[in-house]
Amino acid sequence: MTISAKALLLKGGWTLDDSEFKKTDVLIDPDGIVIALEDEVDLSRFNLQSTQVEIFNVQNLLIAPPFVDMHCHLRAIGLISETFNSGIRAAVKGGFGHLVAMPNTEPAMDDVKIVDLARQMIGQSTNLGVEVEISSAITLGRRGEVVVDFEALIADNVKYFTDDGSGVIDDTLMLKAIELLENTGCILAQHLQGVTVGELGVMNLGDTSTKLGLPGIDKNAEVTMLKRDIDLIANRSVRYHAMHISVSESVEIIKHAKEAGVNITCEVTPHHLLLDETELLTLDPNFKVNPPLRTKTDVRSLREALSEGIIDVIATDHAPHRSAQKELPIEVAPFGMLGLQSAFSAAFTSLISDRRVETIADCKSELQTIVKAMSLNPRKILGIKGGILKINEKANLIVIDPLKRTIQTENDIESQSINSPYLNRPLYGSIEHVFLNGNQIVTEKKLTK
Amino acid sequence: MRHNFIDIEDFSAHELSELAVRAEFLKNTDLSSPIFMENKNKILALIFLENSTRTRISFEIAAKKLGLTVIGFDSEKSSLEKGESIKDTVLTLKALGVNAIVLRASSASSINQVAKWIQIPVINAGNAMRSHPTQAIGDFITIREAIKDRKFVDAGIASPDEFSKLKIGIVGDIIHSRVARSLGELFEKFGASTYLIGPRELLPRYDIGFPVKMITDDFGDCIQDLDIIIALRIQLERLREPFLVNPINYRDRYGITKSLMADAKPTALVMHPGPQVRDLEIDSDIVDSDCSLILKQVENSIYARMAVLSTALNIDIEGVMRK
Repeated sequence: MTISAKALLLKGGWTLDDSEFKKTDVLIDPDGIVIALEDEVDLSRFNLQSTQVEIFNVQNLLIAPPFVDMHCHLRAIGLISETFNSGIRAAVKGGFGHLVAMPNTEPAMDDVKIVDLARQMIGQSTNLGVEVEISSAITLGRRGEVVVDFEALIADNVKYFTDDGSGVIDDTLMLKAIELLENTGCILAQHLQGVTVGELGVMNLGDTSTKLGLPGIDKNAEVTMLKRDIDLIANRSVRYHAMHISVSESVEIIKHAKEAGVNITCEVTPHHLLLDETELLTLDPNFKVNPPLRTKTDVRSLREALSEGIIDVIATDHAPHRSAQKELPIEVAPFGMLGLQSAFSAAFTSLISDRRVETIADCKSELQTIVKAMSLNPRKILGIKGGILKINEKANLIVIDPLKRTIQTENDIESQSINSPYLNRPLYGSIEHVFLNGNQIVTEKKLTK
Repeated sequence: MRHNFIDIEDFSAHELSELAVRAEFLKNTDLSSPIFMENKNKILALIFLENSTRTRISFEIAAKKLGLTVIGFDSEKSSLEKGESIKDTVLTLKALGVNAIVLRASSASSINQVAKWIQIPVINAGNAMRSHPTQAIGDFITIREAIKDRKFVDAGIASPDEFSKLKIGIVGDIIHSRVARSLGELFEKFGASTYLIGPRELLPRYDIGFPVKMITDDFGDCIQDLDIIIALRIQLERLREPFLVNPINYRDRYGITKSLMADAKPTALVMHPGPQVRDLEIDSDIVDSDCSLILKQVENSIYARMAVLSTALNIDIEGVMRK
């Protein structure tokens, strides 16, 4: 122990279990090990003088397990809109400790060689204790023609397969992927979109697209594929995950499938919980995202479904794009928006909606919903340990101030791109401190490294 | 008034009326007045990134009548074809000292993006299927003129203040039409009733953003009620699916023909924003008849654009008006 190393006390915060808030002081020793979890820690019991302890007042703040993002685009391979470094920094500021990186890089991550290259690059970046899990495409080059070598990739410890950015349109091919991934424990994640990107419109097909005269994306592009997939996976022991669902109909379909015992999980993005199609009235390409922002009715259904547990997971679909790309005309600008840094605030603001919130107790159920959807459930699905603070383990926790209003500016953004839909928009909630593997990575919203 | 002119819906009825009055004044004034001679140090850039003959020429004449210096380029002549972004182009133009930009683009968003990037006035000369506001102002003036010419007295409309009593049908390819959207927004501001008539696949399936009195694929449902019939061009280039209605059927059901006009009010007038396809959307003998306002529309488009440009560039037309 160096002389300067001090123990650390998070004083006055709350932890949240299934039913109740619990007032909890967290005492962390200089090696980053949690040594006490009590409602009021008595330092003398640990033979500690107050000069040997750095105290963080976290009164009325929530202490939660780090978030897990099952869906982000860290680019890096063949693309300059993000690096593993910048993506990880954005993630950690957003309270994430574990990420699943999507395979739609250039070239796509579709074989062992490129997966290993990505892992090597991550190993060489300052990972700040964030675990980055590499996923693989379902089909070679994500072209929807031939399935990847699942066996080799599984042997290389890949557990997550998706053609994200495109759906697997061909029925026979999808069935083949299902058969090959049965009983492997791997996740088959579908980007629900029954048409090719070239055939896609610009935004949700509906009132706003009609007013603007912009080509619309029919909700059936999502719904029809979801119905087909549920038919294909019925009675099969494959772990199917529906990515970024965006419309009420998908919620209904998944609810019924779950009731019928189909092995299905699903996710929603923070932006589909907070924003609707009317954002496009500005014609700002930063609001162009796939699946598109939908109607206010869809937004309401998604919020309800999340609270009711029909939707398992909030995942960011963090999709950086350089300004030169997002400054193209909206018809040709790429789909996607940043999400990692603002995920909690956006999701929490959406769940709070217009409700008045003055104390942390006023938003207990919303916080519970979010901790489940951003940490506990993705851990379960991905098989990641953690999620419960325990004595004698390395500190893995985040401290959230749910009541603080924050306004993101371009300067706050850690990504290599600035295509955030939340710039200059006040949101509730901020991530104050982040501890990963016993190290304090974020202190008072700032990265320590 | 704000200096950008992007969508009709951004403006109040009062502001739009002021523009019309200004245009009407310009139409009836002597343009050799010295005030127009002082404007040649104001430079207007006409950027046309989509084919246009009528609108481009109309803007150019309007600008020249105001005494502005006009520089113009279209995409094949500019560096946009070489991959220079619209952003770089407009920033360059601004740095070169251009005072205002008129933009026609095949994208809905370019005009809004340009307005964000540069702080000089930006005027929309048509953006994809979204808006064509100067066309709408020109048509507004044309209708006001027809009212003043006592064309609708028998229909109970004697002054432009009674604009709200008008029943106006827009016919044909509504879904792809920026003109229909801008006109609909303008008619909403003045309380006129808008009817949309056309084949089902060319009518909006969702709310188009302005109130619609009737939407029908059967002209018979409303022809007898309409004071004004505005035919639109079928925009074959925008049809994603093959056009389902065959041309003979189209003329039969939606073409402005003598037999259609036989069912209309005797006072009903016909308009078309051009370019019209004769004997499909509108028969030749109607185009050339007394009930057609088509050439007046073309003429008035110049004064509408003069009104918009002079407002954007702070040219003191009111000063001239007061003298």
